[in-house]
Amino acid sequence: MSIEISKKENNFLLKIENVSKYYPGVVALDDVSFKVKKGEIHAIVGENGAGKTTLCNIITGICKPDKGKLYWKNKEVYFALPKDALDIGIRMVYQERNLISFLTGAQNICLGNEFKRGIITDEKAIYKKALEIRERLGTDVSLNEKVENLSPSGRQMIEILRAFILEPELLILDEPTSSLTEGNIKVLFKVIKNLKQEGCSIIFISHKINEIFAIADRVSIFRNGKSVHTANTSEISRDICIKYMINRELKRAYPEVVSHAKKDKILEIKNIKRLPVIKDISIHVNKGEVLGLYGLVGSGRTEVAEIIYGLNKRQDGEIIYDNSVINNDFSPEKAIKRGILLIPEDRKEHAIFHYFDIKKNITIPVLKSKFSKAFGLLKTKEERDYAKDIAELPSLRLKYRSLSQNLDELSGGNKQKVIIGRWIKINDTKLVIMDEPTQGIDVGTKYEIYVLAREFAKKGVSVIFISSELPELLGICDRMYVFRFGYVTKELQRNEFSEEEVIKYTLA
Amino acid sequence: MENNGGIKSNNSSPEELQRTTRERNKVKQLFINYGLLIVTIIVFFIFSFIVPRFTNFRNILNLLGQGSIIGILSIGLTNIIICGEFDISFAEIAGLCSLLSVLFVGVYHFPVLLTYVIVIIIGLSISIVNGINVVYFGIPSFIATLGMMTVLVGVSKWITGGAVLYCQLPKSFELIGRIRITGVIPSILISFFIIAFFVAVFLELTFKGRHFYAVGSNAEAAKRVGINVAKIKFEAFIVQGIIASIGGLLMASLFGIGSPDIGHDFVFPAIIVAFLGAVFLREGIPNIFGTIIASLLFAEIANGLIMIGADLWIKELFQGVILLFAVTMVSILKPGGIPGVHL
Amino acid sequence: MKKNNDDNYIKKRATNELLFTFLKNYILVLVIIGLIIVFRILNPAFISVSNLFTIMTQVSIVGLLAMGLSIIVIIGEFDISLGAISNFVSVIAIALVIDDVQNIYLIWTLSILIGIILSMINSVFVVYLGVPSFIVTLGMLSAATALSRAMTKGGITMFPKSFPAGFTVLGKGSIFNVVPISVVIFLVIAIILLILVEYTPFGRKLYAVGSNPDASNHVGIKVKSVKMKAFIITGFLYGVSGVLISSMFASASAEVGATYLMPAILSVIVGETFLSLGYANIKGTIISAFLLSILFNGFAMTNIPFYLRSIVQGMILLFTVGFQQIGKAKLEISYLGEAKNGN
Repeated sequence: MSIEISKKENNFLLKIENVSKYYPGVVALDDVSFKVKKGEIHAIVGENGAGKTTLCNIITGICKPDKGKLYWKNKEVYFALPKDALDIGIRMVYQERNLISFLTGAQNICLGNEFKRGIITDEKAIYKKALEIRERLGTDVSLNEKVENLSPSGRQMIEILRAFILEPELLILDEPTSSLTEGNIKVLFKVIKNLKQEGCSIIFISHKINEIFAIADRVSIFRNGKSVHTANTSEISRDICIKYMINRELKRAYPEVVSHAKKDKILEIKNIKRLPVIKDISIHVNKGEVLGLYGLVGSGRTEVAEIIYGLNKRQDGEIIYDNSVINNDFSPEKAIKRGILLIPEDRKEHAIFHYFDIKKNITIPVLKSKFSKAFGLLKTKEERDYAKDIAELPSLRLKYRSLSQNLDELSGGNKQKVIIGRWIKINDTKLVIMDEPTQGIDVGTKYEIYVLAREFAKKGVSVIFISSELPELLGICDRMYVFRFGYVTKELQRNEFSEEEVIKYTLA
Repeated sequence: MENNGGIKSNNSSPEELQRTTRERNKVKQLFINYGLLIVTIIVFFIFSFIVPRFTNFRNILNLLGQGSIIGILSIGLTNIIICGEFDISFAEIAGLCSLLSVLFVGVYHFPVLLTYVIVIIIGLSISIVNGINVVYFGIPSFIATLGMMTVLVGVSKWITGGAVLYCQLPKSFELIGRIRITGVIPSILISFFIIAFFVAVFLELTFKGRHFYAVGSNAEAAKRVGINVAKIKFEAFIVQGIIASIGGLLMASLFGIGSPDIGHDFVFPAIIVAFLGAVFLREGIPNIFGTIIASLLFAEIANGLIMIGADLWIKELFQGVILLFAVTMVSILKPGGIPGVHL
Repeated sequence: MKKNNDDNYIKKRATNELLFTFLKNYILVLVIIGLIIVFRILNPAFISVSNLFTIMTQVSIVGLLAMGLSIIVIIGEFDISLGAISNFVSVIAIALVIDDVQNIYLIWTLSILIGIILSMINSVFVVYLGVPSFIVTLGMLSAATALSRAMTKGGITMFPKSFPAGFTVLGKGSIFNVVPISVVIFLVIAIILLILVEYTPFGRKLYAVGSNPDASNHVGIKVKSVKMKAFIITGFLYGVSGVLISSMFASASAEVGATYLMPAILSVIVGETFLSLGYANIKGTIISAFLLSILFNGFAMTNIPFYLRSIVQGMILLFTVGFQQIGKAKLEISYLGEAKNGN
């Protein structure tokens, strides 16, 4: 019997035993044990903050565990540097881009592993190798162009290609399809299946449950830094999977949708163009509706939002808001005055002020209008009270310690709530644009955000809800546009909503 | 293999480990935030121990007076850094302004008040040109102000032909910088405090000051909350120009001569002080209080070393070493970057 | 498989923009040509073989220092101590001569070693202790200058009465009595460095580490090790230039190094405009060093008044860098003080 057990144990390429990792104020990994078989596709699912990325950072040597051991092919290993993990055949494609922008695709693929002729970099050999990898995978992303000129899908593809510069034994993919075109997603899945046949193991991290079940052999569910369940994908259902992820029955993942949409339009956009991303877009937004914009990264939704908000100029076309024409000298300042608010997609880069605590992050847009007296001096007590009121709003349910906390100490969901709180009490709001508002947020908070969106609609405020997660759009929107490569391919009313329809128009 | 990352593991629960980590960090935080103040106080005691005359009231006032010019210039620079830009020409602007004020009053016999107004306008204009270069033309601020500084050095030399201006200056000229109120307190110290007060109030207690911080913290986010980033940066240069000009007027009042080289001596000290203040008092966020304390520290060291009778080169060495030591301590406690300087 | 061009959107350029792009790319070369023409008109003796070699001799020292700084900037750091370190190296070399050391190879090796050591001290603070490089090198500037002053007894130039055989050859000798040896040394080192930084995998690592340290870490590049090596190479360059200085001037003072700081910094900054790269690069630095040497030499040959020199220098900096920004997105400040965004 012991021989059988040891045979089974020897089947594991990678073993992680009782690993814990702590950061100030956070237990990222709590006594996690995790095993990957040789030649299996093992998915990891879990909400953000569940520990998936930390686990992979430890496997790839980016950070070191505070407790616990790693075993590779049954031998204990310790990675002092990422290079150690790379050398034994562990490759990872990260969620965030790791490219050198002024180098070409081929050069980025071979970064750190350049070919030499003598001591000189052999650019021809580099290109040849990159070409070889590209042919093997069957994609056609440009290799000679500087990656800063590639689309998000192209850039993600380059990073995927880079993983193959040395033959991987374990390939870790962290949200690999987030920016890919449908065509490249197909390429990726084919590659994954081929790798499996060649004996390579794959760890596939994703929040898209459908993808997991399409491709993985086994799935491990993480929650709050623990691995709560592992099962074969053939033996577990999606619902049970979600239940493990959020530890409660979500009978209703979405709030009830009662239509408050009016016939009249708050916003109308006609044939706007802004190359290279927006080719020709026409949409309208009715009063009191939640309008969804679906599409992949780079399809033009955020760009349209930025034009509406006055961040960028359009090169052609017309915009009519609240029955008046909007000139091309629109700015965010004007937009806010006229009742348009934007919750940006990229919290870190575009919304959070690291110099400021919670209070100041909340009050920043209304300092001038609400809290200034003579000479621009601030009414400090009024400001504090305002921030306190918002932080205590029941509809926001913000989890925080004190208003003078730095935002970095909050979880992703709470950071987003602070950002929403920044806008929630602005008077005369007519249009709120939410760009990927639930990205990187736990399921509970997601629900709260959906409720907020519907509340806006109930009050007669229109919401433009941009998302790449089709289920949530289907769940809470009154109407939806499908974006694809700078065009709108379809408009759907709620009664026409269906996953197949939308996918069809994303591919067409 | 156990790798604990420095945290003692004795089978304590995750919650307990979290708590001890948080407490440990609170102490670190306190140390970082007030480290500069602690160092300043320590240095004060060291010097008062070595040189008894150090704690003499008159000497302390002297010390503070000397630090005032650097302090004022650093305050102007701090403004710019808060907005996320840099300005290496500020000392030269001040130097040129000091030169011009001596020229106008001492040589051309303009009325003092009129001179002040003209000089401030000139200093302001130069800073506005900087602002246009940075904001309108998009030249990186370090480069734009470096170019301006080089040009101003030439202009200063042009005006005086390379010589230093010595002239008879009216008593009223010395009012803001040179005299001693009630025979004891240097007026320059008062001037410094007045400026520091107004700038501190501006930055901390007005919405515009908050906007300055917002733009420096995250310009993209500032844009999206309706702040006109270009306008704010431009205004920062305007404020800088006014402060640098006033600094120049004070320099002229204090030193009583018009020298084309005077700006040069203040560049590095003021930069050191401005950055020291940022690195320490608020974990990398530039701020006026840190600048004030840092200029105090700087003046302490300069004064103390003179009292010891150290050669000039010892003073410079000491400066460099203390600077390194202090910043290293903070960096060990909290690694991080400093805003502004990018090539 | 359907051809999917959506992975790449290549920015197309209209034909009439090609000329403009050419101008932007080669602005440095055009300015050099312009300067040569202007100086030639003002003084025909400007164009002569002997003057060319005078220029090249200047380029040697500035070029070595500027290339060292380029490498530091490429890895994303800054080094303001370059002049001070090379000055100290020259002081050490002359001190050894005065102490009657006869073996010139020993002198040169020791001196260059000092340069490397000082640079390594910088790198320990920057790379392993995480102190911002601007501050570290500022401290090193003070320390090294102080040391130079101490050894030259307060800045008095040391003139050795006699030199070991061959010592002054480096700085003053020439091959075939025409080509200065210093120029030869510079060219050899420049070519090696050019290949190393621009055409080898190690050079690519330098750029990668400076451009995106996280990405570099993820692909297995040892960021700290690369930065350390960069500082060592730079230290070597500072050492060689220090030796050349001692040889060229046959003396050592505490002030010489400082005069090279600005030209070196300017060379790196202006060099970034070469081929509109926008980042530090060796070719651009060398060309800019050449440009600046031509400028300074032209100033001297045509007796342009000293005040004008600074002004012209500053203007060239502002012009070459500003020129790059034309055509890029500009922020306009309209009459009403609101920002527009043009493209």
